[in-house]
Amino acid sequence: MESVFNNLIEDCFLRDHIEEEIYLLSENMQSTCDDFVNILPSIINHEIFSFLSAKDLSNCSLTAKSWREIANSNALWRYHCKIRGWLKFGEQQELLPVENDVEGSNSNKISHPKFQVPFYSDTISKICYWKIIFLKVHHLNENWKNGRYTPYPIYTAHSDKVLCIDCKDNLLASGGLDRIIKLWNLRSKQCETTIHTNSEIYSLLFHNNQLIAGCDNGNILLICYKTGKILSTLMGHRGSVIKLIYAVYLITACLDHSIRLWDLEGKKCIHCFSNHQDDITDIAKFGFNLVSSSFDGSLCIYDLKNPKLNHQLIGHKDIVSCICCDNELVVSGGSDGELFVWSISTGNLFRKLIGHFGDIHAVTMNDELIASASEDTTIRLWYIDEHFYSCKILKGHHLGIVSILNLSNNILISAGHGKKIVVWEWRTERCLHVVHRQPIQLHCMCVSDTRIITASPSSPGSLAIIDYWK
Amino acid sequence: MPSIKLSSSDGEVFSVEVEIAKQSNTIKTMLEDLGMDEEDDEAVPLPNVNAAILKRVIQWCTYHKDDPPPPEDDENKEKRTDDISSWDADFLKVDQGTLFELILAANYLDIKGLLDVTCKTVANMIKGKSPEEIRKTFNIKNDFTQAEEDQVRRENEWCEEK
Repeated sequence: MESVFNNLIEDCFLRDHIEEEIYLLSENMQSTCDDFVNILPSIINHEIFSFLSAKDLSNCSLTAKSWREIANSNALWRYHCKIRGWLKFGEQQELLPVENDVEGSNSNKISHPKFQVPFYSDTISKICYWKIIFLKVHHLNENWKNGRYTPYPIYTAHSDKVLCIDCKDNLLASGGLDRIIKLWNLRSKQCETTIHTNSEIYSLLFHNNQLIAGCDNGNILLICYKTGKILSTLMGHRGSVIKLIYAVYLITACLDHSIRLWDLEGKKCIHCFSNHQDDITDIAKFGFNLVSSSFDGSLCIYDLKNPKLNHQLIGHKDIVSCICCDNELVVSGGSDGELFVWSISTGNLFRKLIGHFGDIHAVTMNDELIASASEDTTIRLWYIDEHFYSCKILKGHHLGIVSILNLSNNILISAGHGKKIVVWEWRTERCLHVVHRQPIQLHCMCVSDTRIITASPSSPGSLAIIDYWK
Repeated sequence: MPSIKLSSSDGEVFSVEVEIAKQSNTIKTMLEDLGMDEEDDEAVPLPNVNAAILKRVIQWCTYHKDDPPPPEDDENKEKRTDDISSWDADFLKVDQGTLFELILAANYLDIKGLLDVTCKTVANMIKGKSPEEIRKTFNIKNDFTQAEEDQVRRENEWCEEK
């Protein structure tokens, strides 16, 4: 009797146990069939892998040879580069670092091995091109995050102050009070061309295969940057040409209080706006809209399609020193420490953003926020919302005036007086790292995907280059 | 409702509404190209799909017959896999063998929605797992030599970095 009972208990226990096992199997979806990549057609394997993240693909390639083959696909990695906006690195060789590049003189303290493509034996296929690109750019981004960079030796570029710089791919142009324009190859780190002019150079802009220079005497020089030849001179302005941008036309802002639009094909002036009563401080564009700010305390919004003044905006109590705009908004910062947000289409004032204690020197924006930099050593981030602009303050790093901002996908870079450039992750309002290797003051900064280039206003003119490929 | 007959590889015949069957581009093309119509009494032979799987495929197509056409993928965003409806999730709570047979059937019959959701389900079984966990899940035999594994590990080292 007892043994029958025992058997019964054992049976029950066993059945329970089996059921539990079946349950576990289905829960984990543990396989009892063959590895599916060998059963399914390759196009379907590819389809399944296309739903995986880069990290999952990486994990898959570590499981077995057949899995690595599928995960080592140019189409899959190109897609992961594409959604991150990294296609340009694979398409433009000049954006990638030179292999076996001669490094800058000294690396910063946090040293890190340079990215190298692993060497392969013949038994497994080579890592695909777009995965290499992905890995390289990922490495670059980690460098930005962790502050791993190589400072080049500082160039003494000009005998007097550097007034302006601009860069395009691996070319850097600098212009100065010494009436010289220099073109630098950032790969070889050599000055390739020196152009002597008869006027101080106040602004520079790369456009197509030309370098455009704005001069103190009001002339605008069109230069072929390959040969260094001055192709033509645009005349009309009667003062220093302080800013150049290109949108439909070449747009030049001058200390003669005017803005001119030039047709570069016909090399002639199309239009001249003379709406400001005092010096122009800044210009910005979006689409067919052009905006200017001035010492006279006003802003102007122009239409570029049929060149005309749309609105003149009055409101600031002092100089308007900086502006930025997008398809909806114009944001202006003034010496009164206030930021004004205007509608670009109607010119109506949406809002005043009050918080800074001193002159606002720089303002920039993207879809989510407005960033402003001030004499009060802080940067403020104003999150754009329909009715409310919440404000976050970035402080504690700059000791002097913050005068320059650069905003990109994830990163905000600020600089000014004091020997610091600060790299912030704006989404988290976190300081990623501080670049110390700077002259006391800096007034020009160019930021690319891979570099920060700065010029100081002191004499002689020096250029500092920080490279994040490493 | 007009219907047609579908014959599985193991000879079982299913009667299905034409509108439901037409979710399969393969069947739709057959009907159009071969001029087959509902009057025909002959069953459409589907030599690559057995009765058990065909039954499930018909079940899926019946439930989804009024679905609007799927939105175009946004080429510039990471593909989503967390958008599987609860009905589909329940429907796909099957063993791996059945899941892969369903994928093969969806591929052969060219039913985009079913192929999509089954592939996503497999992808979800991979996501977030370590290489060892993936091997376990899918019965994968690690056929790397030590030297090869070291190399592949090196090319994936960036994963560890944060």
